[in-house]
Amino acid sequence: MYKNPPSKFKTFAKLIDQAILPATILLATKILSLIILNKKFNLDWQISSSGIIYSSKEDFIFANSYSSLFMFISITIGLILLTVKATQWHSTHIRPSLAARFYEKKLDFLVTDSRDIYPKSVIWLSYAWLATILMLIQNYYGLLISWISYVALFITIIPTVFIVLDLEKELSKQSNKNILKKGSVSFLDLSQVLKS
Amino acid sequence: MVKHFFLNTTLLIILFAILAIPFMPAKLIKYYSQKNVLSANSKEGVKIENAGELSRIVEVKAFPQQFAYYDKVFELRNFSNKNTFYEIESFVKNGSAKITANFGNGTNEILLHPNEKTYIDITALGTTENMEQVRVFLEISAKNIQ
Repeated sequence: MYKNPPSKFKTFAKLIDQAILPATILLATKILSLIILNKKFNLDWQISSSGIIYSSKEDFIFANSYSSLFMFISITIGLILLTVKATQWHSTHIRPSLAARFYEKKLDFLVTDSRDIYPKSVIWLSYAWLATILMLIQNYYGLLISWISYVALFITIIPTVFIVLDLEKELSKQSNKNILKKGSVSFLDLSQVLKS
Repeated sequence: MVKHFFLNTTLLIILFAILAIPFMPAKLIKYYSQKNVLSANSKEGVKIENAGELSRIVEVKAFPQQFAYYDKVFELRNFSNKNTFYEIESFVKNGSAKITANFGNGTNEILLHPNEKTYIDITALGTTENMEQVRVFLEISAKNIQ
């Protein structure tokens, strides 16, 4: 469409591309878990034009809570993998011994660069925070078992912190590189590089 | 510039739509509220195929709630080649409810000519507190008339 697409266009296109697979996985998990819960626990439900209707609030809360929990478990698995990739297998700061071991065992595809990690992080963290906020709202209105929303909040905060710290580390490295690329380096710049 | 703005906005909307997809089922899961607690089972319509079959029973399930309310319309068709007189009777099982079932003309009996159809509406107002469920039955009997 464009010979030289604008950078925002590229970013959004990349994010859309990265969002499709997680969306499919999460949707499938939610629907499958609902079907399994309805069948396994013999819940009183029916499908109508407006959706899946439960005959009692208890059944609704049970199905809604546990299907949300299963969906959140999928998000957690994605986030764990991403956090490990960002903090341990990131091409910019992977331990040389680990990198060598990966290359030796032909697992070098596990080493990922920033262009791959950060769009994925944005997507998975967005899903995690959206799911958590939705669960907290549902909990507030008494439509969800409360401990599930608190666990979700706790789980979401941890990878967010790790990924933000990794991003910070990456940005400081970038700024150091920019400083060193400059023709003349001041003492102030040098102290900043050494501090980092 | 304007083109870029529209393009970016469109992509952003698409991105938000994709992000919202996994949360759509949450919007589709519901439970019956206080005002709409009774629901019909799968037998939504009544069809009497010939006058020889004299009765059909339709069961309407009520979910446990207080002040249950239900309003439903069933279709009844005369498939016989004779004039048929239909009568309806409704009663509640396993609970207490006030039921009105009529052919829309305020009565519980009607004469249908061959291939003619009519509608039965049923309304149940009841208390189902501490009950597992209330079952509302609608019995339709038919007899040929000369």
